[in-house]
Amino acid sequence: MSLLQTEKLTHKYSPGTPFERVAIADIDFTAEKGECIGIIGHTGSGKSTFIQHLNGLLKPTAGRVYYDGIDINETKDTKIRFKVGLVFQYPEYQLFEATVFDDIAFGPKNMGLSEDEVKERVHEAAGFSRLSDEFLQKSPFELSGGQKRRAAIAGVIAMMPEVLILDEPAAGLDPGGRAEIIENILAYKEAVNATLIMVTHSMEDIANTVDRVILFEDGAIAMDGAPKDVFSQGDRLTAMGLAAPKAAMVAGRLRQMGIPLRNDIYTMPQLRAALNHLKI
Amino acid sequence: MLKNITLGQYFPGDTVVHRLDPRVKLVLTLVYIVALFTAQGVVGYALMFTVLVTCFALSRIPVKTVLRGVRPILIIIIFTAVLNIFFTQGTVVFEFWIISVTREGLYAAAFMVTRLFMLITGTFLLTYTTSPIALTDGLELLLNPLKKIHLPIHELAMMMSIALRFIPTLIEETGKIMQAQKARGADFESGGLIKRARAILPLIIPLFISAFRRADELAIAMESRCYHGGEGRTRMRVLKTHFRDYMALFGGAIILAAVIMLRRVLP
Ligand SMILES: Nc1ncnc2c1ncn2[C@@H]1O[C@H](COP(=O)(O)OP(=O)(O)O)[C@@H](O)[C@H]1O
Ligand SMILES: [Mg+2]
Repeated sequence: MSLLQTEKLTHKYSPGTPFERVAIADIDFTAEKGECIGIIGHTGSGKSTFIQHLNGLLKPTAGRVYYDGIDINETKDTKIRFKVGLVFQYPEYQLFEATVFDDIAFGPKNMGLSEDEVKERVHEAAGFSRLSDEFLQKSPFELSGGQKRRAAIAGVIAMMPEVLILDEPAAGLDPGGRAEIIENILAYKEAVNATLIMVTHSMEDIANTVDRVILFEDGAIAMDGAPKDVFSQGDRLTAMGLAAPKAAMVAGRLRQMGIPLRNDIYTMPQLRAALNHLKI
Repeated sequence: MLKNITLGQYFPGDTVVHRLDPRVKLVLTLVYIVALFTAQGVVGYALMFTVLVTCFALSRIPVKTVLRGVRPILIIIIFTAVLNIFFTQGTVVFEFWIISVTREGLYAAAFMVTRLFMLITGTFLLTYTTSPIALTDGLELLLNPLKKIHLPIHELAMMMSIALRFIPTLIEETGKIMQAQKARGADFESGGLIKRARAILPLIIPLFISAFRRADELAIAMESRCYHGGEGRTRMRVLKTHFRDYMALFGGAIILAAVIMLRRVLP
């Protein structure tokens, strides 16, 4: 069995009221150890609802979620939250401690680790997020937006989850901040061979990082495959109100103009290499 | 946990009751309360009950929703019943140790409970069928004459509508922060009083910070659109009274008159 798996996962919000809404329906999904998955989809397509089921924060209306072969909604074990780490959208809004150090320590403390272990975890996580010791002693509210975000992400990384899930980790940051955040996350993933699931609006963010793309539409999985397969369907993406990565779009346009380019190009380096190869 | 807050929640719809002018609904709710406290005897209560049921039927609010709304005040209702049953003097029908139950006590309890129940569900009908914005608009217009004696009616109404507007937002935000802290292993549900009180900190602090941030942003947004209080302010949605509003007021007057008459005729 896969590390993480869902079976016919369905979630309704406010069932039995006039506000009832089916957010996701019949989702079958698997993730293997060490996989790096990008989830894309229009706002309201059910991405956030879906990922909150993966560590048991939301209970399914129907269907099951398995972690390592165990149905997480059947066991009493709450450790699943530490094994599947979830970083919410705008995680900086959940900072609450007096210092960044204490805030990062919140998760490890809840795991029941000893003081020394907690300290070690905090420094390790701060290392991935490139927060210096000086930062650790500051109040979270003195930091810039990007720094706050990195501190909040470190708070989840400090639990050393086997699966790290992030909801729009780079939303609302400048390009430099975006790149930094993605780098931090990948550093953690590489170091412990974690499974990484990243929800995002930005194709550019995932084009260069993930090895599988899942596309949500109207509460269901509309596409699931290698980035080159998903991004080569530029027209379908456009129809769903999404845009393929810029490199894929440029390559598509050039193909239309009769330039012989393969249709699995979706990052700038690939495009550059292919164009150099043409030697026009 | 947060789902239980139906007390005074708007239940969207497009029925006659929903479309009534909020001022009329406010006045009618007052009339209803007065009539309810004037009503006497089985006939009076039966009349009021018929009125209530008719209004709910017209508004198409499911019975389940009404009952769910009453649940939080159930304790008060039960408490009232118990007080009335055991502490009313009169003909004893049942005696046990130092407790004695009187016929008058049973009657009083039955009437009090019915009255409380009808009072609560009747006022719920107002908030179920009127959006908070319409409600504060109606309230402001009704209280307008008090501006003459320099009561800050507009400011109060504005504060009320902002508060009402942000209740769902804050509830949603509480839910989000709760989830986020739970993802880090926070436990809001178990433990003793002190443990629970401490556990609430990771929730309360971010919530306060965000409420202040929102207040700040809202103030700037209002000022940058030249908000400067009620003076000379016009309305986007001007409330207009229709034929149905006059009919409703007329109906209300008749019911009130009927209740007063009944009191005279059947003492
Ligand atoms: N707490 C909630 N209560 C009710 N409906 C919700 C809630 N959260 C999300 N929804 C609805 O569920 C659908 C999916 O939302 P969401 O999972 O947040 O999508 P996404 O993250 O892809 O934007 C949306 O239509 C949204 O309006
Ligand atoms: Mg989302």
